[in-house]
Amino acid sequence: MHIDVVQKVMKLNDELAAGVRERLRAANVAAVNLISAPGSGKTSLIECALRSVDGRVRVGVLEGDPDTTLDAERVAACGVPVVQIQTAGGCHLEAHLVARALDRLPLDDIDLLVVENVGNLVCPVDFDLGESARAAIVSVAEGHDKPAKYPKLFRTTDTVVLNKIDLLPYVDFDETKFMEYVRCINPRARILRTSCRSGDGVAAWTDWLASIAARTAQAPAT
Amino acid sequence: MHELAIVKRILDLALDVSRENGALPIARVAVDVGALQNVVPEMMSFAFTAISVGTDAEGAEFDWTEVPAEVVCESCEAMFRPEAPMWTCPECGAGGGRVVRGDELVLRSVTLRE
Repeated sequence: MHIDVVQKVMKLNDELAAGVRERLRAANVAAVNLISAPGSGKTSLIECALRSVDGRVRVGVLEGDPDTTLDAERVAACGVPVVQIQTAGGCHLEAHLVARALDRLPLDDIDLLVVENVGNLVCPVDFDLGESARAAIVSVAEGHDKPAKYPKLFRTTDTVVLNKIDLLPYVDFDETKFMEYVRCINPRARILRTSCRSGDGVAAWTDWLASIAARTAQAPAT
Repeated sequence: MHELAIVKRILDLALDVSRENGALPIARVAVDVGALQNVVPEMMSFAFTAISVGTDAEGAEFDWTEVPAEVVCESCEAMFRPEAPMWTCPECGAGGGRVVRGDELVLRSVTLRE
């Protein structure tokens, strides 16, 4: 017996992500999904933003990792609410994990939820988490060819953060080529250059996060 | 290896279809995989065989069809099939583009054994 189905395989995740989005919207919370390779500096960028945000935006954080609570401990030390999601080896966050984690966050007391995905340039890309914006983070030590090798991430992101720019003198990173790749794959993407060590670009990075929260706060209720 | 998570969804959807139709065992699932999906169909097929053991889909054929990518240029509206990861419009040379086809991941049909 042949049965036509024609159903999106990601339907369940997409529905759960829509639920997360609706719950966040009702609480006036914006969400940013940070996707990068392991070690690109996601947690450091979060720490820098928390130090420089200066009360403009109240931030909560979800940390996704295969194991440990190390990142959540770092973020908690900055004095903001944080929940660690341990994926037990899983290579990406899914909407149901975020939905469950929201129960453990004081949504009424935050304006912006920063979701640090599991370090991985492939798997997290296909899973909508209910975010309002997505940032792809690349550190210069990873090489300038990453946008060409992982185009789907760069195609689906709002902002590209080139991190660890203080290391540029020490690595063979062709920044012109990197920018060309990003522009060709996603002409609309905002590109930020940052270094958590020197502090370069941290203000612009923090401003971008704050602008996501402000955009959500101004959005009319539907 | 997010193929496993995706294949689990396909298996669940197929088992739902089986249950809705007299719990007949599944002979075949047919899936459309867009060329722009970050998945390896051969890996999905392997994962499907592994996780369907002990279910009504055990031994079922995992039949996948690749859907080629089609993109429309946002500058000149030309439709083209990108072959490289970098999308350059063959008409006007602009980068980027809007996906028209190739992003789908769809369970097309399920065949049950009678």
